[in-house]
Amino acid sequence: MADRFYVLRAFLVMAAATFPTRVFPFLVPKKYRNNAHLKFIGLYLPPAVMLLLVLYCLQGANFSAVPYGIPEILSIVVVVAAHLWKRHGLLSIGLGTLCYVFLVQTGIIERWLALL
Amino acid sequence: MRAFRRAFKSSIPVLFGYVPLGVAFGLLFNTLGCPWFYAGLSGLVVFAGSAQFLCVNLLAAHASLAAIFFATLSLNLRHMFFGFSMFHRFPENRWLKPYLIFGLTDETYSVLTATKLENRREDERFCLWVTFLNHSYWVLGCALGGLLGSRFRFDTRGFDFVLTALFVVLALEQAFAVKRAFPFVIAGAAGAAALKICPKQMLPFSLAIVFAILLGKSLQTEDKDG
Repeated sequence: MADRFYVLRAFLVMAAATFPTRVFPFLVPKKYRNNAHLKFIGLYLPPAVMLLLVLYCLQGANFSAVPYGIPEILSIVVVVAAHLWKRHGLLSIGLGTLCYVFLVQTGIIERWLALL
Repeated sequence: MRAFRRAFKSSIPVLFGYVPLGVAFGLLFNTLGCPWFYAGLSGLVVFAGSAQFLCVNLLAAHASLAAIFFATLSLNLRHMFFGFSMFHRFPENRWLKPYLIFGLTDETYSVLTATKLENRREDERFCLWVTFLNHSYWVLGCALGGLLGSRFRFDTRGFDFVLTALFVVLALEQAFAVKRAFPFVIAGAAGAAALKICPKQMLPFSLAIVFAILLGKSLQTEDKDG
């Protein structure tokens, strides 16, 4: 069992390490805030960051051995298809996650690949 | 009330992302043997999901506080650029503004950049409600996971896909909003390069590349116009 005071101190340390990263842009002097380049980055950074976060989430997937990232790819296809169909965030996330949990917990992809 | 309704509606996908993810975190956190509400406390004080997940392993290994600090910092470096889209939106109030900055998670940022209300005051209230609601969902999920984990055994394999699915949806929404392909092309290339070169620091590394390329592209555009 972890020492409780150690865990509580760790929480404070984690909070102290998180806030500076979030406050950084607000420390940029006011005169630069209407800067055209900062606006450009503010507009086009979000889409790029979202794709990076998707790639980051897929880091744990195994693409070089069974199941070759098939559960991840299939589930993402489900999310994208559902979202293009209804454009309802909750529905897309729910269907995709159900698909993934089903594929992972039943191990169905591994069994099919073993048959090949 | 209009601001609250809009905020609640926009935050619903986060509700369904944060609660299961928070529960998964709480279940995992419980393996440390702390009282059940510590998981909720972690959500309340830290409010950085990926860092909280990461630190469960570090805490279990009794890592030094310095190691925990640097692990959290490197994982959260991606937040360094978030506020650049928020200058004109957050209230100047000296209590509310720090709270909004504290609560600027990936998901809050995504929701806020996807919707902007016309009226400045309404928009400030919208930002505040979205942040507060998301924070509440996260604490609720973490606490619930801690409570459930202290009572039952669960098969949580695959639950973490909620986070992936959430980012896929948000990426699609961004694509609908900006209607340009280049940010995704740049991110795809930078992400692939980062995964090859330094997978352990994938996020800060790829973010730095993307930031540099976008800045370069912006400077180039200015030269042509001038």
